[in-house]
Amino acid sequence: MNSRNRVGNDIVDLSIADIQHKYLDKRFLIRVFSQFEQEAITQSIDKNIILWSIWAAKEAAFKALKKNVSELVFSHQKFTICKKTLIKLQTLQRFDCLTGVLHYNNQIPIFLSWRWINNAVHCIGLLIPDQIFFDSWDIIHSKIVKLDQSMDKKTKELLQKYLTERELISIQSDESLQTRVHAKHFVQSLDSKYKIEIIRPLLMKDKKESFSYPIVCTDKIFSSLYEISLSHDGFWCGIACSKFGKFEKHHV
Amino acid sequence: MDRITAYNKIVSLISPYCRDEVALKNVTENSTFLTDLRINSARLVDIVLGIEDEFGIEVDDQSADNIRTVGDAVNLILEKVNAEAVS
Repeated sequence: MNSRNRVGNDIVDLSIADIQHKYLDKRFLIRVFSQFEQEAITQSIDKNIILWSIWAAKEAAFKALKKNVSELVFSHQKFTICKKTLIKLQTLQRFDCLTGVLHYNNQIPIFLSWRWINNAVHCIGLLIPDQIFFDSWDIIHSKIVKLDQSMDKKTKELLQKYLTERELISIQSDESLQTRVHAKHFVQSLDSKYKIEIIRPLLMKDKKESFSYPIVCTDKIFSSLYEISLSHDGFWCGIACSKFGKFEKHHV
Repeated sequence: MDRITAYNKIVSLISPYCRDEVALKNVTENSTFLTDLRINSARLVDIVLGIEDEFGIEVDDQSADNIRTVGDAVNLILEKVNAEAVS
C-alpha cells in the first residue's frame, strides 16, 4: 500500500427526481449501508439528505483510498461512518457543514468534511496513513460550482481552448469539460508560481484502457505537490485540493 | 441463455437509468456505463440489483466492481447463469 496522503471527494445533486425516495428502497439500503447507517437514515427527519450524505462520504473515502490501493474493490459495506459521526449527522440542526470519520474495514480511518449548498451535498474524504486524529481542514481547499446545463458551441470552444491537448484527451462530456476548467482555474488561483495542468493519464488494466484519477502537473511535470479530486453530478461539480507540503512532513 | 437474449435484457434494464437518449440509441457491448451511457455509480448499484432480480443470480462486490461496459455485464450474466445451470 502506498503511504501518501490522499484526497477524494463526491458531490450529489439532491434535486434529481429519481433519487428523492431512495430511502424506501430496502434492497438498495441493505446493499450499500451498514445496519447503523440504515437506522440513521430511516430514523431521520431528512431521510433523503442523510442517505445521500452517507453515500457521498463512502464515494469520497473510496476515491481517496483507491489512489493508494489500486486493487481496492468498492464494497460499500466496508466503508462505514463511525457511530459518533452518524449521531452528529442525524442530529444536525442546519445542513451547513460537518466533519467526521469513516472507517474502511473497521480499521483505516478516513476523515470526512461535508458541506451542503442549495440542493447539493459535497463530501471530502481525507486519508492520512498512520494518523488517527485530524482537525486541520484549513489545509484542504474546496469549491462547489454550478454547471451550465445548456452550454452553447461558442462557450464550449472557449473552454476547450483553456485546456491543453493532454488535458483534453480525458474530457468525455460537457460536464467533465466544465469541471476540469473550474478545477484548473481554482488550482491556478492558489498558486501562480507554476503553470497548472490537470491530466488523467491513460492506464491499461486487464487489456482495457481507462483513465487514472486526476493528477496535477506543474510546469508540464507530474507533481506530487498537489493532491486533487474532482466530481460532478447533475447541476453541480465539486473540487477538493491540497498542497502536500503543508501536511506531509516527509515531503518537501 | 444465449448472448443476444442477455444483451437485450441488459439494455432494457439500463434504459430507465440512462438520461442520454443518443447514447442509449447507439449502445453496443463496448459502451461504458459511466462514460458513454453517463450512468452514475448510484444507478449502477440499481442496475446490479436489477441484474440479480432479472437473472436470479447473486452479484458480489468484486464482480460488480469489474463491470465497466455492457459487454462486461453480459459476460458476467452468462458466466453465472451457465454455472448455475451446470450445477
